[in-house]
Amino acid sequence: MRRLATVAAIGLAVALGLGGDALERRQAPRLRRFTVEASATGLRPAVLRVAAGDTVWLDLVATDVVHGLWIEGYPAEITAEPGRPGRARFVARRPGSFRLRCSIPCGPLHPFVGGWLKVGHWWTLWRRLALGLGVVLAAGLWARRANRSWHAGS
Amino acid sequence: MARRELTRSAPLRELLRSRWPQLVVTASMLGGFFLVVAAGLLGTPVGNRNLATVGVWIAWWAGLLLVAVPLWGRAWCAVCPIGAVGDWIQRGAVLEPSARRLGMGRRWPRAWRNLWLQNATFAGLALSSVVILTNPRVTALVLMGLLAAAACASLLFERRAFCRYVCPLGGFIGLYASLAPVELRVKDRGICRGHRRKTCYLGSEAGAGCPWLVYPAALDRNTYCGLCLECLRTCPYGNVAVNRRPFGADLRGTEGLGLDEAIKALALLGTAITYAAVLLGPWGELKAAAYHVGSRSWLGYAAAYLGFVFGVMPGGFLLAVWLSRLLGRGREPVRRRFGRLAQAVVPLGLMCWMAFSLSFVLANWSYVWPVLSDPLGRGWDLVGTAGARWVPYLSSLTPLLQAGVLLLGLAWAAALVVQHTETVREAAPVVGYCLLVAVGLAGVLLG
Amino acid sequence: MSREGTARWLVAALALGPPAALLAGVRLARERTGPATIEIRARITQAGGWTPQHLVLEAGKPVRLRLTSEDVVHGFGVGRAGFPAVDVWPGRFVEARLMLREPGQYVFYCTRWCGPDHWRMRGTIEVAGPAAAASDVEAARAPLYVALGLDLDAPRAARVLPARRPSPQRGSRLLGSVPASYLASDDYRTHSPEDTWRRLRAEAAWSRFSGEELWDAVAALWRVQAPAATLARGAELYARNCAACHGSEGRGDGVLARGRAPGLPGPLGHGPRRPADFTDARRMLAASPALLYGKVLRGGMGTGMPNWGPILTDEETWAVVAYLWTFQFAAGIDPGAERR
Repeated sequence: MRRLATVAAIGLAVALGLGGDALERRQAPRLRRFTVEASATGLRPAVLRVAAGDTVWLDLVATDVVHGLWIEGYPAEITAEPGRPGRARFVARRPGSFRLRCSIPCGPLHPFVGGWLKVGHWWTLWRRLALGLGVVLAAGLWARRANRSWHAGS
Repeated sequence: MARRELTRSAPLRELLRSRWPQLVVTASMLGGFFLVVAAGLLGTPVGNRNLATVGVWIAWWAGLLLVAVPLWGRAWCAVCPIGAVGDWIQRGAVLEPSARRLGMGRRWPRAWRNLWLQNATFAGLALSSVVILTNPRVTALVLMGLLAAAACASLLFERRAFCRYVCPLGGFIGLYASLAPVELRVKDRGICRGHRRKTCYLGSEAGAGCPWLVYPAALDRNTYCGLCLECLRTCPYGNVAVNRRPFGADLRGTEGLGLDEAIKALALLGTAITYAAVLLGPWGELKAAAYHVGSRSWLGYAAAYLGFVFGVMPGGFLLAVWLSRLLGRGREPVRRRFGRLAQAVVPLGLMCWMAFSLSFVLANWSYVWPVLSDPLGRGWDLVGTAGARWVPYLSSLTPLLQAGVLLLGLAWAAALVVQHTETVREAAPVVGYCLLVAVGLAGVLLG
Repeated sequence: MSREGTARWLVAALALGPPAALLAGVRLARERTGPATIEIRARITQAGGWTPQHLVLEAGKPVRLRLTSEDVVHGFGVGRAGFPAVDVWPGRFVEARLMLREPGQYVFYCTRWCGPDHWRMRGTIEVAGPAAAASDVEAARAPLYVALGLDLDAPRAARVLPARRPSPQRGSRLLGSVPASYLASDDYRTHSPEDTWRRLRAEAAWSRFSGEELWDAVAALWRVQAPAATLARGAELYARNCAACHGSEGRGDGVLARGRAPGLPGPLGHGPRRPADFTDARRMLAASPALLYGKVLRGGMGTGMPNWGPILTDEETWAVVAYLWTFQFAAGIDPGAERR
């Protein structure tokens, strides 16, 4: 009985973790404007949150040197330097977290200058906890059985 | 997967016993080492166009962490050029076992025969890591410094004291080597008991005594065996074998980790989280503080880092262990339980490092191509790839790989905790700690 | 040879061979670089700027330049020489052919923003050769603001201001009644908009027009001096060189001006201060194009405003000045297109 309950809990947790996306509230698409300032140490803001389906207008303002912005999953690659901002326009169709990275060498920290475009997914933390819990329960169940056979064998 | 002796195969056994293959690989690694140092000192200071930074922190690091350590444990140490040079100087030879020993051969101080010094050297390197990772000259100087330190240690102390007790990377690799599906063990301890000369430890005409100051007959974990294969050559009974075995077989024992090892495991886990937050996180001020070594903000960062990896991480784990004891039935001392349950942190730690490295390596692997053609950033084009552009590889697949690896680490850790405890309640606090760490790191790496 | 001896040779070959080959390659590459090649390295100003900072060339003789950056993206341009600027990328080399026909002193400078001291990243080129008399005379002619005796730093404020933004389109309908002398470029250059407004106000034939209509006429007169191609060139130069400090809207709020104190300079009249606000009608309408030309040419004497004299040609400087007026007068071409 306990084994059945555990297996059911695992199934529920994993389902929530992988499919919790479907439970997210759907909003009507809006126009979202962001001005991202790039410097040699990072982006500000570094995290852009939009809902799935939103139209995103992104202006990249370079505050010190020439910077570039690469957005994972989107073909737009913007270049900006002080006085000449760059811009990108796109529709954030797919939900998920997409990396923003600097694409033009801008100093020693260049490989690490970046951020996130988060589309939808405000449930992410709970989904991860659920998935982790499911995995942990499954592993524990497996370990108990392995333990018994291990003790039995040795 | 049961244990299987790989050295039963005669060709493999002869390959491993012969000194030539290992020497060729080691010398090649030394060639690469000098190439990297030359590039770092003479080439462009731009990190992504210099062989020193790209070759070491992207290519070599990927090979080490994603392939060598998980699959072959301490195999890197068998061919590492840093320790080898000191070893050759000490022995006065590169190939043949030699009775001549240069240097004072002093015994390593008893008080330091543990991982504490390696904890310190690793932390020291970690505090300057942002500068080391991005600056070719600093990379070159650090590598030369390690080589010089190893050589000096070889002239002062016995055997490979540097590798065993000082090398910042050695502690890291050694700890995670206990997860690898490969091991070196004696076949029959009875034979060892009857062998008076103990040539595996004391040496013979066939080879040196274990340079890693390990007594092979007592070897039951991969952590301190550097896979140098000397004992394979010196055992007159052929009693030493290289085996294939299940992953993580070292962690099933009830012995547990020593306090120095447990702190190392927790500190390494904390360091993986720190690196992820600083390098891959969205916090620019944190990056700047970590980069400007010596500044006021860096001092704050250093204090926070040391407090986190040597305070918060072990402290939190201690709390979980104490709770576990409270909820359990046993009367086991907390310290022993701490050491036993800390074994769960080892696979979690390795998986966290792999998840971190995947993001960094796949995103920047395309820097390797131009550097092959133009190692110094001088406008050369040796193999036609100098103009290759930066493009992150597998960017949509990377989060899935990272999530998979983190979940594997979490499952592995949970399984280990359950195997070392009796009830669900007893296991819950430590499993909860691992879950928090995994979910937290997933947040930073996966957005 | 013994096994150990062979092994030592093998180790030496494997360990020392690759770095030796690398060093040999470095030596070979250096020897291949002929005397007609100059290698120039770029770093941000605080880290040393250009290396070398001074070049000596012969008039009419081309040289091959090999340029690289050691930190961020820079650009290499030569002032007043018709040399197309090239971008200089970190860790990579770019080659360019430079030939300067006229002897004299030139300035080479960075053309891509590389930090707050980007404009200080300059070097000099001395071109030796027989001096040409004509170009000497050209160089010796004093700028207009000097000939007029203008004090570039004197405080100024227009006392008559338009109530609404003057429009060249509205004003163009009135240009038929304007005396021909007002349409001359010298007249435009030597008078401020307020001066011209006052002169028009004093003309009997213009007494029937309102003050706002006079401003529109002034805007139209200014617009006549700046054909679309000139404005476009001015907009491009402004975006590339000025907007970082003066802002793309001309308000003196560019990204590199942050943290600078507004208001007047210190007791010595020098010291870094906030860049000029070209939307400030009181100050702009009291300035003649010759005065603005002088400011651009001479720079700000320690205020942080660079001197563009060695960099921009006369034509380019007048184009920038023409563009600056679009912050006061609605331009015939849409200024927003350049600024957006």
